[in-house]
Amino acid sequence: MADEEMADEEMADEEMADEEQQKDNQHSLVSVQQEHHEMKVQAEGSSLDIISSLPTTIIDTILCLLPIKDAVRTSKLSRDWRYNWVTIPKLVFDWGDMLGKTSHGILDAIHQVLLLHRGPILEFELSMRNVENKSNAIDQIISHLVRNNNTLKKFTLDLMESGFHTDFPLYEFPLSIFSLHQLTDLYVKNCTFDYNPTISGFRSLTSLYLETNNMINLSKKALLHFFSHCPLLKRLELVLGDEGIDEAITIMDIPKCLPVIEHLSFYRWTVESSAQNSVGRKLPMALVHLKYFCLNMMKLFDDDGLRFLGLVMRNSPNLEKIKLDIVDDGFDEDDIKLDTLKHCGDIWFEHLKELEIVDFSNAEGEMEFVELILAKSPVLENVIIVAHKYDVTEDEKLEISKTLLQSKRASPSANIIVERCSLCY
Amino acid sequence: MSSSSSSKMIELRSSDGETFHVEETVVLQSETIKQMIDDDCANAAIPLPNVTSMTLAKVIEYIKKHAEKPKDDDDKKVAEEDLKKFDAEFVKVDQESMLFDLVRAANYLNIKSLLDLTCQAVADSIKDLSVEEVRKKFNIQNDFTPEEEAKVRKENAWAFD
Repeated sequence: MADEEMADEEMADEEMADEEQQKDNQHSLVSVQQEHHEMKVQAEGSSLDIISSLPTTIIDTILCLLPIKDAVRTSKLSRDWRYNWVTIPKLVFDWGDMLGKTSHGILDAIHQVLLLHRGPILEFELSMRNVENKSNAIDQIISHLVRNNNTLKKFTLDLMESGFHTDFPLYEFPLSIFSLHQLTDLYVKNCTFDYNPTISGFRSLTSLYLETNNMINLSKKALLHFFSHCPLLKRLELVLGDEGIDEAITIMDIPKCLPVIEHLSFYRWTVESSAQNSVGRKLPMALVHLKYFCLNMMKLFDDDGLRFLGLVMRNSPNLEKIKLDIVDDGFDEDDIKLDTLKHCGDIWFEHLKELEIVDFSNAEGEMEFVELILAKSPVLENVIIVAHKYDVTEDEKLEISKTLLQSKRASPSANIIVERCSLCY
Repeated sequence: MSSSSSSKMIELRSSDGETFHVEETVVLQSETIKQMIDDDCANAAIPLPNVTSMTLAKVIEYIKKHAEKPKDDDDKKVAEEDLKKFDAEFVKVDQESMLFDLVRAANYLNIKSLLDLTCQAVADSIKDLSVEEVRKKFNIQNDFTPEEEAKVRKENAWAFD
């Protein structure tokens, strides 16, 4: 009995000591660094331990390059190493790297890491599956990042329910996310914001990736309002399901809410050229900064899609690269009409260097489009055509190359590369 | 000697007194040396007291390779692939200590791409090893008491599952 009590007391003592230790981490860090220095001198003398004697900045760099689990495990190497990892500025918790850990396990790991971590966190990445009922834990992580001197520059949150459910409730960011004023890069998959008109946006944000596989129906008005409150946004990739937005974005919306955009990637069904916008028309405000434009799930016999593309091309005087990801949904190829782009006949794509078409099916419209680009782009460097091997045979591939090489080119030195692949995605 | 060469030659002297002649355009990849040249301190041989001749020879091999320019765009892709292969081979050194000498030299000479490459190689060599294996690999003395070690394990329990 007495023994048991003693044991209990000892355990309580140890727990208290543990807490003290945690409070004292900052202090121990200093003493550890002093020890570190002594060790370094020692190590140089004996030239045995070749890694512990590296300058601290290099040890930090190496720890940053390790998966977080391996970095944390270095704490057990020696006293010297115990707190080396706690200042790494980049924390990545990737579901793929942590196979075997449940979402609960990953959240627990993050909790333990954040408890010991010291100093600024510049990058934080969490990708996780089975997120149901984990909202509170994720909220807590975000409020920790906001409290951590608000130093975060890059934030990735990639959440996914297991299986193919598309009807699970999306994780909604707490409003405190908008307090991350230093944030420059935001990558979010299957999360949503409160697109309330009062939101403040991100004043430093330059790059935004937004994807939802869910059948949610975002309000275009709210989304554009959000974009316009990120005044430095240069790069936007929007990946929404085919009913992901209540009303399509038009060409007229872009210059207003994305005034400095350089890199733009949309899914076809997210955009439309409203009927009054003919390709021949110039917008009141051009997309003067736009260098890269990508349209996914595009159909080249889709008149409105082409009109949208034509409008972007006409109104982006500095465009350098166009990428089209084609989808073939089995419509009769006879429907192809490329008249829309004939309106582009009077303009030159002065800065266009590269055209890339993925999932090229060798339809007539596709060839005409490539020929138009070849004829109108004086500084074109590369035309890359990737065709699925089921759509295009080796003979057809050679035929495509031959036709394009013989067609009229404004830039004689442009490379034309035609490839067949088994998997375009 | 090399007065006919189109580019100016810079002389580097290693810690063990060996001298190396490298084209200025090549050696400018080192921010440290670039600074010395900008400050007009490179008229005589530049002493590199922290770098041995063996390490310096490797560093020069690296910066020479990375200074090669493809003639046209056609060669660009090929050259990129070639450089990737070179880098992968470059960090496959016989002795672990050579890799660390390169890390230190890249740090001292401030050649960012070489520092990134060599640090990544060190990280790759640690990845997936047990604590005991890492200690053994680098001769790290375990100076923890068993109690301390248990405590470290406890506060980072998730990483040791």
